[in-house]
Amino acid sequence: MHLDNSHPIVGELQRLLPEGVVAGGSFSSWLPSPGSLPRTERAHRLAQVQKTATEQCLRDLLDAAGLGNGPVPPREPDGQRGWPPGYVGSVSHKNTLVLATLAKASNLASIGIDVERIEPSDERLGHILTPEERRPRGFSQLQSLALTFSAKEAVFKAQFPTTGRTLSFEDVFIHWNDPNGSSIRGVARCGSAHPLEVRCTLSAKWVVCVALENAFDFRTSSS
Amino acid sequence: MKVLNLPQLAPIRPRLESALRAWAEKETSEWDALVEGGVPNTLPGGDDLWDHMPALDSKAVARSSPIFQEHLGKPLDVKLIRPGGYLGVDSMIEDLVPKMLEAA
Repeated sequence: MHLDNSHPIVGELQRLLPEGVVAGGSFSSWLPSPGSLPRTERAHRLAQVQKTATEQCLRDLLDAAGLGNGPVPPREPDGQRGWPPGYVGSVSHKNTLVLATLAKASNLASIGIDVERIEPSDERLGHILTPEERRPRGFSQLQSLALTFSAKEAVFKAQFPTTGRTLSFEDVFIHWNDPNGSSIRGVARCGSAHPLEVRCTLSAKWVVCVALENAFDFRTSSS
Repeated sequence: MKVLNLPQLAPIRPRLESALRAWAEKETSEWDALVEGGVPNTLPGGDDLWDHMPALDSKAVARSSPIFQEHLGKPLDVKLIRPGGYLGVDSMIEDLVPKMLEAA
């Protein structure tokens, strides 16, 4: 079975991240009609199929990176993926969409990606902003909250492999630049850790964000 | 911030759990009704019905923060949310409520 990589967010992620290879897509065709399942089984079935789709996505990612003979990056006890030596990567999924990226560690010291679907109830996410933090300009309230949420989730993922820290929303402060159409960039600061670059884009009801640290910046600030 | 002691927390736990179940039920009931109403799998605009399923992922669980604030006097600490979220409200309650009570 193949993932449907014509989902627009796959291309958006590749545009956000020219330094890396991207794989993923929709696996909605792999699922039966939800109406054919009892209520109590729907979430379980989605999770089961999502796991299979994630493995397929990771195989596609390794192929795209020219590492097709390698094993699927396993989940380590701390929840992190065991990426091939010399590479950094990240995975994100939302309902029937799965995305993954891989980049050479000589280019990027760390990377985290996050995909979200904008929902009306996201208006209850106001608490994820620190008191002094501004929302990204040029977007609706709902979009700006979803963007901030997704960006911080990407930051959580990007910083963990290098710091080992589990962060909360108030631990991350994002300074947003002005938007460029439906895309926006910013800088995320989380305590004493190195600042991370944040790149996000909106596509219809979807948000995808990348947080990364360039290997050059990492080496400079670590020396 | 109000700090609660153990005797104060004991009666709060069932009320908190009940409020979380009611919140999760509200999150999912609309989608379940849509599914059982016989709508096609592909919705107008091309969305798949599964994409509207309100999974208890990290964003959905983060939206439950006001419930913890109301019952414990402190918002949900998102550091405590299991990466990837939960399969159902029972596993969410089983994992999060003890951690939040301990933190309160």
